[in-house]
Amino acid sequence: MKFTCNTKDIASAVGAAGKVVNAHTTVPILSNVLLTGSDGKIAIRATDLEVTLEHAFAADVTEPGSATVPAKLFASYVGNLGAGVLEFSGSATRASVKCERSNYDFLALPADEYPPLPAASRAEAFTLPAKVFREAVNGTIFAASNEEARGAVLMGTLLELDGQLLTMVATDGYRLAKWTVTLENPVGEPTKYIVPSRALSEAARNIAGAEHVEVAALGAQGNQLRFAAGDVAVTVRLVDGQYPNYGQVIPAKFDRSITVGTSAFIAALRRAELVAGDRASMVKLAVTNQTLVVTASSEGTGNAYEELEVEQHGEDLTIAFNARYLVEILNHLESSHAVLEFLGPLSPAVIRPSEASAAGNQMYVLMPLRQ
Amino acid sequence: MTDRQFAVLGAEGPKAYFASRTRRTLGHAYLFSGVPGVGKKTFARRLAQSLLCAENGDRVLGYCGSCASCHLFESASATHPDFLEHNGTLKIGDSDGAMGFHEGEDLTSRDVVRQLMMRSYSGGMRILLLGDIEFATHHAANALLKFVEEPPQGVLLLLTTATPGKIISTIRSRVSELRFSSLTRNELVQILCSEGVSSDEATLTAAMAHGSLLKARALLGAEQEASLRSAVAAWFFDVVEGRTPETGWATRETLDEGVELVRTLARDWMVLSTQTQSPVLAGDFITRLRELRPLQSSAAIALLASLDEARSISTTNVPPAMVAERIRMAVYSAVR
Repeated sequence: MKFTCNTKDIASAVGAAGKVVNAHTTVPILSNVLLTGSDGKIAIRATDLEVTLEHAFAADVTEPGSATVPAKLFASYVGNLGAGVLEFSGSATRASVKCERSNYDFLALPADEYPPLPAASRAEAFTLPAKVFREAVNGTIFAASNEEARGAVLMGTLLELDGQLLTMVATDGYRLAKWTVTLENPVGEPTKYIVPSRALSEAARNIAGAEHVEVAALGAQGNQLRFAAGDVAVTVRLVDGQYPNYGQVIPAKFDRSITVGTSAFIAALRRAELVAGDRASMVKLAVTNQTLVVTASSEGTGNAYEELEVEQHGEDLTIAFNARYLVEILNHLESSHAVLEFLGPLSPAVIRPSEASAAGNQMYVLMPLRQ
Repeated sequence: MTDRQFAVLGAEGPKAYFASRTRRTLGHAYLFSGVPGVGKKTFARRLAQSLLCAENGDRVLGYCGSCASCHLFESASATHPDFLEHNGTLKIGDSDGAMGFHEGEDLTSRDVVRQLMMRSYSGGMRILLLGDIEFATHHAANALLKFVEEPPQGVLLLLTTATPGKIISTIRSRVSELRFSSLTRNELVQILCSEGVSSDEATLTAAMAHGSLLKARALLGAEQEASLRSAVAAWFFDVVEGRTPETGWATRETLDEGVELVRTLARDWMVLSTQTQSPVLAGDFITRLRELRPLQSSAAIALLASLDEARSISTTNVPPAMVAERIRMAVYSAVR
C-alpha cells in the first residue's frame, strides 16, 4: 500500500483511533492500528475487541491495500511531525514513512491478521441527528451500573427500537434513566440491543462534530452495532442477555407531584449533602403548603435545612433520597424546572423535565430510601 | 470444501467423544484432565479452531486450515477474536475494574464472567480456554459458578488440569470430564521428529519421557538432567552389584528427580524379574536391567515400599545424603 497525505490529517486520525488500543494487550496485532487505503481515502482502524474505532481522511492513494503499524509508536511519531506532506509505504512486515527530511521504518504485522469486522446484518439501519444521539447517551448512561459484580447487562444501556421510537434505558437497580427519541423513519422489526455503556459513551464522544449518525447492526445475529457519522465509525460489541423488564418499576399513576426550579433544587441538595454523612447521602424532602423542605443530618457533622418554593399538587409528603443520585438526575434534565411525581414515601418517584425537549422525552425513576 | 484436519496425536478417547457430537449435542463446559504434557491444551486449541472454522459446518472436530478464522489460529501475532485463552491461577478481580477482552496475565474470574456475557465478535461461537486452571480463592471459583449453572448460548468453556481433585466439587460436578491418557512412545517420537529432533534422539527421549511431551522437551533441553540421570543410574547399578558408591548426585535440588529414577529402575527390575507384560519405563537402561539377577517378589515389594518411604522423607529437611543412604540400604537388603 502506498499513499501521500497531510501530516495533520493522519496525526489526528491515528491519535483518535489509537485511544482504544489496550496498552497491556498480550495479542501483538491488537497493539497495532490498521491502515486501509482505497478510493482517495485512508481509514485507520483500532480495536480492543470490544470497541472498534475507525477514522478516515482524504489522501492520494497510489497503491490501494492495507498495512498495520504499532499504534502508540506511530501516533507519537506523526503527532510530533510539523505541517507537511507524508509519504507512506507499507508491506506485511514493514512500514516506511517519509516526511520532508525525516525517514522512518516501522516493524509491521500482516494486515490480514487484523480481526475483521463482520458484514452488516440484514436488520435495518436507522439514522438520527448526532446532537440528539449525544444528548440521549449522556442523559442515560450515567444511571447504568459500574459494578462488575452486578453483571454486564446492568453495566450496559438498552437500545429499544419499535416503529419510529428509539428508547434508551439504563439502570443500576437504584435509579433508572429512560430517553425516548422519535426517528425520522420507522424501523421494520422491533429490536433490542444492550450496548456496554463505556462503549456507547465512546461512540457519542467520537461523533461529536457530525450532523447525523447512522446506526446499523453487524453480523448475522446482530452481534455488533456500528455508529457511523461522516469519516468516523464506532463499532461496539453487544451484551448477550435479557434486559430487566424496566416497565415494571415505572409507576403507572401518581397521586402527588411538585414542580421545582432545577438549579435552585440542585444547589440546595448539594449543600444538604455536605452534612448528610455516610448514610447513603440521605436527604429528606418534606412537601407541605407549596414548600419543599430539604433536611439532612448526621451525628458527626450537624443538621441541614433548606426551603424552596414549589408548585404542589396533591397531599403533603415526606420522602428520603440519596442526594448524589438525585443531583445527578437533575443535572441531566434539559429544563429550567423539574417535575417530581410520587405515589408514597416508599414507592419509586419519577423525575422529568417540565418542558418537552427537542432532543426527546426524558424520564428518570429513583428509588426512595427508608427514613 | 477443503479437506479437514485435526492435527492432534493421541487423545483417542476425547477424539472419539467429540467425533460423535454435533454442535447441538455439544456440552457447554468440559474439564480435560490428565498428567502434564499429554496434549490437553493443544487438543482444546484445535477443538476451538474446529468450532470456529468457517468451513466445518455442523461438525465438531476438524478444520480446513485455510479460512480466515484458521489463519488467525495459526498466527503468532494474532488470535481469533472469539477465542480467549488464559493459563494458570485465576483471581477474583476488582469488582469495578473495566477490563478489556484480552488482558492476558491480568485476566480475572470477573473478566471471564463479563466476557461470557458479551455477544460473539464475528457471529459464531465464543470459546474460553482456562488452561492448568487453579482458582486463587473460592470467590474466584464461585464467580464462574453462575456460568456453569446457567450457560449462555453459543459459549464453550474448556478447562484443563493435571489435578482434577483440586477443582471445587460444585464446578466439577457441572462440567463433563474427559480423561487424557499418556502419549505412546510412537506418538512422542512423531511429535519430536516434527519439531526437528533427530530420529535417534527422539526415540531415546521418548523412552524416558513417560508419555509426556512436556517431560520429553524438558529432557531434550536439559543436558544437566541427562547427566543426573546417568549419575543416578550408575549409582543404582553399583549398589545392586554390591559396591558402595559415593552419593554425590543427591543434593536438595536433584533429590526428587533422583529418587524418582531409582523408583522407576526398581520397578522395571521387578517387571523384568516377574516377566509380566508391563512395559519397561526406563527404556534407556533396559540392557543393564536385563543383566541383573532376578528379584524375589517379596524383596521387590519391600524395596518399593522402602523407596516410597524415602520419597516421603525426601520432602522433609532430612539431609539428601541420608536419604540416598537409606535407599542404598533398601536396595542392598533387596539383593541379599
